[in-house]
Amino acid sequence: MYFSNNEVLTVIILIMISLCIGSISLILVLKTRKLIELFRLSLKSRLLRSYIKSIEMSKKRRLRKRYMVFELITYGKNLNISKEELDALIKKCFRELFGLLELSRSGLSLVVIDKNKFRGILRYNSTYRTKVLMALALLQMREGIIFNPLRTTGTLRKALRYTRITK
Amino acid sequence: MKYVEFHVKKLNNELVKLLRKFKYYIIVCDNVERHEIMNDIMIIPRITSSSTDELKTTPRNVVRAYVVESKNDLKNYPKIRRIANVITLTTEALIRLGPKSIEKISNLGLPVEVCVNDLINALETSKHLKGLYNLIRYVIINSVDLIVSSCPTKTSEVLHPIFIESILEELGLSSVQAKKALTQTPIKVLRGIGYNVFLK
Repeated sequence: MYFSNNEVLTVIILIMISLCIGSISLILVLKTRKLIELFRLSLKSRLLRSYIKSIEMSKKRRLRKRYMVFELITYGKNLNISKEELDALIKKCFRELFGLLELSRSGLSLVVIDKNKFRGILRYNSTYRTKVLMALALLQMREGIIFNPLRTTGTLRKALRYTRITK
Repeated sequence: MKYVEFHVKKLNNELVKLLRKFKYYIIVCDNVERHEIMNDIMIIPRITSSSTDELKTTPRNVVRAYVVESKNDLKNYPKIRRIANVITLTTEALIRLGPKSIEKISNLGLPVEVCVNDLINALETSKHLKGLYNLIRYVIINSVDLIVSSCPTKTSEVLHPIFIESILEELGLSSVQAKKALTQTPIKVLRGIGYNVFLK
C-alpha cells in the first residue's frame, strides 16, 4: 500500500500544526499559571479575611456582662474597707495594668458587698475576664486582701441568689 | 484537676488550709525534710539553691531547683542537666536574660519555674522584660515547659489558680498552656523524681 505525495505532505503539515499549538499552549499555561495561583490565593485570603471580620463584628455587636461572686478571706477579722474604697482599689490596679481606655471598655464595677458574709459581686464585660482577674491578683499581692472567686454568672439575679444577699 | 503549688518557702497551718481551699492538692516546700500528707494535701520537700555542689548532696526524693539570676549561672551547663530537676528564674533573670541564654535553657530540657511574686516585681520595675518575653516565646512553641507558682511566705501571697492562669493568658499563652503550667508539668517533674502522683 502506497501513499501519494499529497497525503504525506498533509500529514506532515497537520503534525507541524499540532506541535505548534501544543508549544504555544504550554508557553501560555506557564505564563498564566502564576497569575492563576495569585488570584486563587487572593480569593482565599479575601474570603478568610471577610469571615474573620464577620466573626469579630458579631463579637463586637454584643458585649455580654458577667457577674463574678467572690469571697474575701479575713480570718475572723472585721472588714475595714468600704464598698467605694474596694471599688476604687480594684479600678486603680486595673488602670495601672491596662490603662484608662481598657478600664472604660471593661465596664468593671463592684456591684455589691456584704460585710457580714464577706462576699461581693463584681461586674465586667465577658471579654475582659482575664484582665479583671489579673487586676485582682495584683490587688491581693499589694494590699493583702485575699480574694476567692466562687462563681461567675450571666445575670445579677443568679449572682445574688448564689451569694444569698440582697442588693 | 489537681493543682500543684510548686514553691512554698515557709509552711504553716494557715497556709495549708488556704491552699486546700484554693484546690491545691500537692505542695512542694522548702522547709520540709520529709514527704508527708497533711489535711489531704501531699507535702513534698524541695531544695532551692544556686550552687550545684549543694544540690548534689541532697537526697534523691527531694525536688532540686537551680536558681538562675544571670547568664553566668548557666556556665556549668552539663552539671546542671545532671543535678537539677527544675530551673528557677529570679526577677533579675526575667529582666536580663537574652535570647541566647533562654535558648541554652531550652536545650537543657528542664522545666523552668517562675514565681508570680518575682513576675510582679519585674513588672513593677517598668523595664523591658527581655528574659520573660524571650521565655514566653519558647513556651508558646512548646520548646520549654513552664511551671508557675505564687511562692507564698504568708497567706496574703497565696493566689487562686484561676488568677495565675489569667496572668499567663494575659502574657500570651493559651488557656491550655496556662493550665499545664499549674498541673501537668509540675506533676511530670514529681513523677520523674519518684512520687506516685496523678493529674486526677
